[in-house]
Amino acid sequence: MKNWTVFGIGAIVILVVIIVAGVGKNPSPAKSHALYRPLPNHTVVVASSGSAQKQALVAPRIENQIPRQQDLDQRQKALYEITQKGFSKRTELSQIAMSPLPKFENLDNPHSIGSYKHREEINLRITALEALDKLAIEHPQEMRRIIEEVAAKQQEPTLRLLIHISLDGIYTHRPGKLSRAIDAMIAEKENS
Amino acid sequence: MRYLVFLLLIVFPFMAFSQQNCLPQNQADFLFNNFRINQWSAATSSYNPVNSIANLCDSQAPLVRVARALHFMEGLNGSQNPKSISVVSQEGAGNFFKKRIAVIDIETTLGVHGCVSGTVAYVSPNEHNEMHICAPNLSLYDSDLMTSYVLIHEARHTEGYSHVHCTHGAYGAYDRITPGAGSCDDSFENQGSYGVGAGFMADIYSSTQDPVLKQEARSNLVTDFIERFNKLPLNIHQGLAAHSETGEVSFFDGSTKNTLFMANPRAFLVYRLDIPVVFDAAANTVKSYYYSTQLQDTPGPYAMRFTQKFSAAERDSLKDVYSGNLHNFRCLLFDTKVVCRSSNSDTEPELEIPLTIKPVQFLLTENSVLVDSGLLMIVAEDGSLAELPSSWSDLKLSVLLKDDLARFNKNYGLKSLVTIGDGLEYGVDFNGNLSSFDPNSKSWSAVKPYSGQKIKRVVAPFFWSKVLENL
Repeated sequence: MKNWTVFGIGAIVILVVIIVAGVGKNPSPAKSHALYRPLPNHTVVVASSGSAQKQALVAPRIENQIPRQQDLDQRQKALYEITQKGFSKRTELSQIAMSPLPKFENLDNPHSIGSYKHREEINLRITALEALDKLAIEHPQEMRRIIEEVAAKQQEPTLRLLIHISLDGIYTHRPGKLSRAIDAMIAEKENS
Repeated sequence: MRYLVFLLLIVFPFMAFSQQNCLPQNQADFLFNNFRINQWSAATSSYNPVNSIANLCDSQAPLVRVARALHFMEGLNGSQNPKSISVVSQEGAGNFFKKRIAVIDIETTLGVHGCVSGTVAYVSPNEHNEMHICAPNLSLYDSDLMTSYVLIHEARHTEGYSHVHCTHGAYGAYDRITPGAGSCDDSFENQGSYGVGAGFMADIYSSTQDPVLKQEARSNLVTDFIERFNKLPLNIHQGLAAHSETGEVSFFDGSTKNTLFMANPRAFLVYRLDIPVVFDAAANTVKSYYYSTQLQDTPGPYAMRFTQKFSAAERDSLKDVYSGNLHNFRCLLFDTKVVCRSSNSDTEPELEIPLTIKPVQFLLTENSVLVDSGLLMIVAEDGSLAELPSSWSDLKLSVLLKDDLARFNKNYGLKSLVTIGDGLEYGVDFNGNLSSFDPNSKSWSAVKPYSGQKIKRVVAPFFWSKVLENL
């Protein structure tokens, strides 16, 4: 009985600490950023997407790498984690970059949900492709083979243009060209 | 007592977890303090004022989504840059939105008002400072970043900025076949709806410490720069690649010609995977141009077996090669036959189609407005045209039935044709003159930078920039 009393008091103390810390109520504005959507200059811990992601890294489709059932933020986080693992995840990155785009409705309406979802899908592939492009700096021969495979399979015109830029960098012994091109695009607009 | 403690220990973490995703009350207050909110009622066919959010923990609720996005934008007000060309950077994202929108109408029913064709949000030119949110579609949209992007995009439309037809890319293709207002802006510098959206992404990219958000903003910028502005970044232009009888392969963007590289005059210029490729039958090489004068060896299945499969006489009689994106087969054109193979299978046997015409070369009418689009034809010496079936399965059937190739009943006097952008056509006549077609006067006029040059073939669309060569 004594043990149970000590345990109970301990549990209550923990609960009080949690409540005082504010987790059990709506978070304060500052904390809310860190919890679900960080704003500039807030340090953020990137959440692990756990075993579902590990299990998903098997089949050669983007849904399995960064499942479409997840919301966009989760998919971006999962992709970020893959990119951070570098060369060991080159196959997964190439599968994402080469995977065909899902079909969405109303793409002719730029304000449609289909159009925005289509954009999200392209964005994920651009990130994967740029990660492959950067890996070519350290591993040009292996990444040449992989990016050529992506080039042969990816049909989307924007992605194909980016793939060609990346391949040119490798062919001319200046790998990482896509990443440099994206930096230049952004700098050009910032300075315009 | 101990059971109660157990229960609390089990239940409390779940309660805490579920509540941490709730909208903080102060964010809801911000929404109602700064905007007038109405909600459409189908029952009364009217907009009713809304002053609170029933369930702050319902992350699908449109007002929760909007309030979160507004809060997200408010957080960017601190990174204003008055010198920036980006209006969002000048004003701060939250300020930008508040300055333009005072009323938010929540549309509850799809198919009515402007909530058609999957629209997420819209503004009407008859209204001032008012934005409509199509709630059922917004609920499918799950990112604060992208919801903010949509709100900023729409807010810019209140100032009269509308879209134009895309001149390139996948959206260019949609705009060609749909009657809508268009899916692009002219340029980032115009700061239309896509321009302010890209400015918003640039702000986030340059200021956030969150690596995931930075990654997302970076890819969004690339997508906008390449897909949503007709003026492409890095001075990239859309144009054609032309192969002259002297072997020069050049790029022409509608005003300027740039020499890309020199090839064997007897080689064949092919358009494969959106880039110019040269098949030199005599040397049995296939070389691709990847923004560098140093061409790359990229042999395909035909080239790898060309010398083994075809006799010297056959190889000498090769007239042309087709390996475009539009069909699921590729073909070699000889003086008495066409030999084709599936693009998707190396195991299917090749097809051989005997010709009754004297062939010159292939003519592809991809995206043409002058000739029926999407056709692959063989131009004969007399100017007549024979059409190849549109798919590998139709081609197989045609061979099985020993059908003659369909003869096209018009003679355009062209041996090569491309369409660039929003219907700009360039053709090469039998004398090798490169001309552009004026749809208004329905006449051809010579392309001046190519005057005096004899052109064999043009391929397009091709995107090129000197900047890309030098990066």
